Amino acid sequence: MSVRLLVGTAKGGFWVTSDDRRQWEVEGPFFKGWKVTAGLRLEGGGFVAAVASEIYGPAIFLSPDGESWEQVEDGPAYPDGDDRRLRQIWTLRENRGTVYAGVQDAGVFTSGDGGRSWQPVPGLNEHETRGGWMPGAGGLCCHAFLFDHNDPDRMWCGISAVGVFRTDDGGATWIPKNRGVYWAHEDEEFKEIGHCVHGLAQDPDDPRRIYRQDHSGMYRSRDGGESWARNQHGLPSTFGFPVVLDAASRFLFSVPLEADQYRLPVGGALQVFRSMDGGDSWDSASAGLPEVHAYGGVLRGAMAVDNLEPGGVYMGTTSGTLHVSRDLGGSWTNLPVILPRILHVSVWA
Amino acid sequence: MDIPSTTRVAGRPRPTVTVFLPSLLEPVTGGVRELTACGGSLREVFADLVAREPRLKPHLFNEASEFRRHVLCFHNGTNTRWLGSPAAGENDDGQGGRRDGWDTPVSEGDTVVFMQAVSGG
Repeated sequence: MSVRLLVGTAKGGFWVTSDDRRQWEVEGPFFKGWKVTAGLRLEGGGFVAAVASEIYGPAIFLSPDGESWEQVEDGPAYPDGDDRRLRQIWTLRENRGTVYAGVQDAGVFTSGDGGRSWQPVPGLNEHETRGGWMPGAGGLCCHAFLFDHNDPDRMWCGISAVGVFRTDDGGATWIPKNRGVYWAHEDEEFKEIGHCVHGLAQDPDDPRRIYRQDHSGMYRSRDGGESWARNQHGLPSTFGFPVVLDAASRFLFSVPLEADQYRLPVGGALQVFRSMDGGDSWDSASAGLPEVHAYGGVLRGAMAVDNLEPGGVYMGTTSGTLHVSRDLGGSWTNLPVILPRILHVSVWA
Repeated sequence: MDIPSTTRVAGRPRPTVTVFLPSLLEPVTGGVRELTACGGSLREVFADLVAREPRLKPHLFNEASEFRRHVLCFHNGTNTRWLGSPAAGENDDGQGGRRDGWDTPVSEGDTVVFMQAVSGG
């Protein structure tokens, strides 16, 4: 089974491909000099890529084949004269024919035509708590979406330093869902926000079962976000960014970092932690990863699973190294590349 | 785009200027780095430029229709930020981005060069 990775870095995108998950080919960079911040393969074919430049801002590009790219004219944008700025597109997801973009300054935009044109989601973008939204260290960004395959009107989004929001009416209204999560900063007026979600994962069988790597720890909800409880037994640090779930095994993966003021791999070792029991306990699954003098972390969008059997796990670091496991974290291969700072990893089998 | 045009004299042909883009914008224009745009003033040239190539608009201008913070524009070799009144305000990023030089007249054959402000090491 061939596997194709889109590796988005601070200086361009790279395709990393393999027919057997042993021998890998690297192509790139494309969008040289631009940050590649998110990628999506459309269900109907073709690719969507989000890019950004500190100078020239963000944009969305479409490609039929991953080779030729064309920028869309009618991309996500706040209205002219708005005090918000579209600084970066953090995530792209597709659900039931609609493409979703989570952006910074925090907001959600949707496309019903495969990414060619985009519309804002007012229920979220103009949320009554918006005045209390404060940016975290990574900026005020909407970076995660989850969907309920049993209910087309229900979905979740995660906004850094604000929290998780859920809609039950197709996006018309959104309700903060952060009860049980420790505050990153407490808002004087809006007590239901100020929770710094870093990453989200969801059980494919039960959409109400959600895993949350938060600034304040690793959490789990069994009721669609109505309540949260810590599930971090065995983790060497409760701080980190990505949490991903392999659909076949239901194994969870995270990369703990030492405290928010350092954000470094614990003990200078690049370690992946795995839970094989739905988050009840975590153990290191790091065989083959650099054990000493490894200080590159893994950002929230830079870890992915391929959902093959056995499942492949992929992650890129802020030091530009790329790591592959073909056996659900049982062992790791360090690919012989040093890329720019890795922001995003998508994988398609 | 909110770049209001100045009044033009009816029937007078608008000058054509050549616009040069930096290599970083090649993905936006499909590799094209040299374009033409028309207008009697820089303001009209900018409006015509983004009308001809709408994909450039979000990369050169912010939501307030000012230059992005680190976008530089030179008219015949002169930084357009130096063309207007020094008393004009800065944009809301606290940086340049002023539009006070945009009413500068242009002539046939003028050049407009966009660059990024790359400084430091």
